[in-house]
Amino acid sequence: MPGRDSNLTELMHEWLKKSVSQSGVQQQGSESKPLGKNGTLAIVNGELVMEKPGPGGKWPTITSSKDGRVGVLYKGKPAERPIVVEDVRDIDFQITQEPPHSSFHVSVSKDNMEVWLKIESAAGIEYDLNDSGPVEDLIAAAREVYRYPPEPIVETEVFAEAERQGIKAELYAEQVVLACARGSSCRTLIGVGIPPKPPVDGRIELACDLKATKILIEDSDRVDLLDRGRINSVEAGEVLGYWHPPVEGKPGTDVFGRTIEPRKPKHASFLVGSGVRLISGGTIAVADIAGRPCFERGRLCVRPELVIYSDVDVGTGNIEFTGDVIVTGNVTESLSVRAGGLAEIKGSVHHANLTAGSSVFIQKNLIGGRVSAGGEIVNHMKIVALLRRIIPEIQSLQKAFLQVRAQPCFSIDDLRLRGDGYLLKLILEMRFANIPNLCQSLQKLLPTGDGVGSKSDLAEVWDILHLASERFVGANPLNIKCVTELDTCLACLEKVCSYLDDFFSTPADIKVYYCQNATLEATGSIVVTGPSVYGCTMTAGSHITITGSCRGGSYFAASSITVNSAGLNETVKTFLSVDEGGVIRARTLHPGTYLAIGRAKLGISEKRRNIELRFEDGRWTQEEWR
Amino acid sequence: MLKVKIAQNPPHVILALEGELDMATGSILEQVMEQIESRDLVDITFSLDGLNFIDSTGIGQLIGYYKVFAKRDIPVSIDNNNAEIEEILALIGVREIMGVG
Repeated sequence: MPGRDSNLTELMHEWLKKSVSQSGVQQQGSESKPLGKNGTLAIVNGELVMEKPGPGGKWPTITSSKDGRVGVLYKGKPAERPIVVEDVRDIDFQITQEPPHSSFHVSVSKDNMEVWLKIESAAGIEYDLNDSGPVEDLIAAAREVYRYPPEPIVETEVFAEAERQGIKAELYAEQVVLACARGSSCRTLIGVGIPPKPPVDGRIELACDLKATKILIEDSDRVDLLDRGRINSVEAGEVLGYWHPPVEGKPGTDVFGRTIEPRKPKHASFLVGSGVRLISGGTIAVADIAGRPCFERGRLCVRPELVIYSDVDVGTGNIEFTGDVIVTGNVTESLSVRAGGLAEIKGSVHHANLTAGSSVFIQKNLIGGRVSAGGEIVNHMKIVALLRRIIPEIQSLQKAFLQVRAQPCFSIDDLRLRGDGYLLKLILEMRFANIPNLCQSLQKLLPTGDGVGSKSDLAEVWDILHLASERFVGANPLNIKCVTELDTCLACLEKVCSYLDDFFSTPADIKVYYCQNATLEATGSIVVTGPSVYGCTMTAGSHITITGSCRGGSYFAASSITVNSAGLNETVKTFLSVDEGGVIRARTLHPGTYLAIGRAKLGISEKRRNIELRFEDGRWTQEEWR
Repeated sequence: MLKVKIAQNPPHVILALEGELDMATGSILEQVMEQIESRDLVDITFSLDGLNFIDSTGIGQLIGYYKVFAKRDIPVSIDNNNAEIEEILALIGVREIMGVG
């Protein structure tokens, strides 16, 4: 039979070759196609219908729906994979229906301040087997046949549930009704507790600016590069800040009716440091001294000094500060430094303006510009110096008048008619022409406009001086009816002189190493410690001391001038002058030096050494200065 | 009363004043000065030896003449031997501008 078997095998191979050639499909190592028609499955009117495959055709398969809504049962058992259908009677379908659903949940937020109603609601859906055309691999599917609404939530059940949970807060009935009637899932806020009223913390309200500078921009949009701003500063007594005490909050209640205490307010203590004082029971902080307000280590302080750790230049702008100012560098051209207290410049000052309420110290050179120590007191000093010259002149005028009037051959009939002013003006013009000039100089020094009102008591002083000085200028002396007016005038001027003298209790000095072509004014002394002074104008309320040479310029001191060497030659005019009773000392006085003590003047025509000069009893006295 | 006598005619005029030079009599001197001020003058001297009284108006008048003629570079001086009048002139300062004739 082996021979017969081999013949059968050969026959089957030949038959297969014929089959391939008849179908016209070339088999080049690829899969082969069945020759018969494939079987199909269809669902028609809910019934599964099968068309069986032809010879060699593929048998159809059926699969449950992917969403699990339609399950395929094969011979009564769930089919978990595609089933090859041989007979439709082996197949049944199991359709899962969607029942209606509605439920609610009442919950409370974590902070127990809110009540929420959550409703979950879904309509019921009836499904049926979906029809399908004939396909080889059928996937069963369901179709929606009917949808019916869920059972409504009854609001009373919601309220009952809330009560069951112990919720005491009044619920928003309208929100509950609306949510229940909506018929769909939702989450609604249906009640809240009463929150506690928060407390107000204690706080500090600053009444001063702690920023370093306030940049000033003009209305015209122009910015002065030198006027970069003002250093924030305060005067003594100025209010720096207020302390507002804390205010307690009010308690609230949560949704369960429990009390919620507010937090405790913060106290915010008023911590103050040096230069600041608390008043009004510690609720108001005021500056104890003039200076720059700042916070240091959490304390409000007023620093009495401002330190500029650089040059004063276009980078810093002009400096204005009520306290002391210390500059570690130079003060450069066209800049200004105004200090309410003392000013100390570690470097040099070049063509700048330096004004200090107290003393000025310049460790290096002063070239050009103006330095003023003593603030407005410098001006007072000049006024007093002028008054000290005017008063004796008026006294002399009065004396001359009385002497003339006492002459037996002098007729006073016209004075009775015209007033004493006529004769006074004659004498003024002929003998005391300097009085009107001095009075005009005085008027130029008197503050005018806004400056007058800076101190109310001084404003009165300036008014007096204006009136008194005006009396001797131009034709005004003619208005003097009686010479006794001069007594009143003199008494006023002397009183003003004495009053202004009181402002000089703490004289301000200037100390500089070298100076050239500068103007220096000090209510106290001016000391130049370096080798020379060139072409300066100095005015000192007390002394001028120049340890080196002094060439050119004008130097006035109320008490004394002490200089190592003054003048150079006739072409370099050097003026040294002191008040009446003052003294001038010099190691060397060169020609071209002009001295004045009070009204007495003396020109030096030849070199003189070790000289100490005074003017006493109407004559110059000279001693050797040792 | 004031008497004004032209003691010396121009150009070197000397006017001798006698009596009182004051507000009431100043016009008399004024009339005389009007007569001579248009003439060619070299200098003018007021002689006050004969004056008994003078007041501030009179002195002002003399100073006025000094100022007017100074503009014409004509010196005006005062010649006076009356010590009391001289004292007044010195006190007022007239002597500082008007020298002795």
